[in-house]
Amino acid sequence: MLHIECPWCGFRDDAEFHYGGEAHITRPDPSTTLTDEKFSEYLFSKTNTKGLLLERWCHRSGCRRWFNVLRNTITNEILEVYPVTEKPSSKQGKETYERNWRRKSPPKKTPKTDEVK
Amino acid sequence: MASNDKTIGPATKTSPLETKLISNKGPTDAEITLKENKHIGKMILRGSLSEKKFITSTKKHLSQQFPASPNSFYDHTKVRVIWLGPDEWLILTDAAELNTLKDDLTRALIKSHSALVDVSDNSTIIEIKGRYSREILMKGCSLDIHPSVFQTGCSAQIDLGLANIILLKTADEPIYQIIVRASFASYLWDWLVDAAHEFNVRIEN
Ligand SMILES: [Zn+2]
Repeated sequence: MLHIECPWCGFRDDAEFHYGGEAHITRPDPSTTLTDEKFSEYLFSKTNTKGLLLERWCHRSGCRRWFNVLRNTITNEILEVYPVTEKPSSKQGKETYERNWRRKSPPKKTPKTDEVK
Repeated sequence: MASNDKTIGPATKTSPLETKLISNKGPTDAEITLKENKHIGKMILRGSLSEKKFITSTKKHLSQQFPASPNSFYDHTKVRVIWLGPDEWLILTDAAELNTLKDDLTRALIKSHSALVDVSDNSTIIEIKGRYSREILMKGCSLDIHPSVFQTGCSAQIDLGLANIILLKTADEPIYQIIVRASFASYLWDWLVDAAHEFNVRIEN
């Protein structure tokens, strides 16, 4: 069982938390020209990292607040906990944030139709 | 439906545990006492601590101790203020005093970005007392509530059994108060009675 440190309540069992997926994904502004491609990228394209991932958690059974976590998806080690409104401050957290394809380069194009079986 | 069905209470029903409480059942030298603290007025207060008006108004009516530090509560005259979140508090007071306090606070907070809602019937309070009360809570609660870490004045929002509760340590003796939603109260009461079965239990009314 994961032991997660809520910024308000301290260390609690993971059964008390709700997983909120990848952090730092901005919903595209629908008032501007929004293509289907852009919106489906927002909805469906997730990093799915083997390694360090910035993600959102909610302390459902406790203070009911959302916060962000830097977690290693291989070892389940939690390296940083920080507010939802902020960016990570640790060295590894900053690197993970910058390395993300959303900020570095767009995701790989979808494979050609003949490759999809 | 049978007319003597006790699960359907009369119109005078006053608490979610009305059907569970059997007056003073159990030995007087019991190691565990369970009772319901009825008729407690409850309000949820929300507001921003960065707003000056909010701070001055709340401190005036809820004492200088406001806001309580995370995972704690304080008592001030007939009022108890429990920290629920960085912008959320639960205020307990006698049901008879509730409206006065509510009016005072509402008037004081009139120009601040805040909310005050009466949630008296949303939950009820179960008190568990006696030398084995911690052992009973430990059967369904993952939090470390040893007196060395969970001291008088501490509170925690946590799951007990399958119910979400607010747990308060109200005295140095082994006494805990459990604030539980009305719809979960009867389940939790049965759970507590069952968990306390191995000890000498007394139910007070
Ligand atoms: Zn929390």
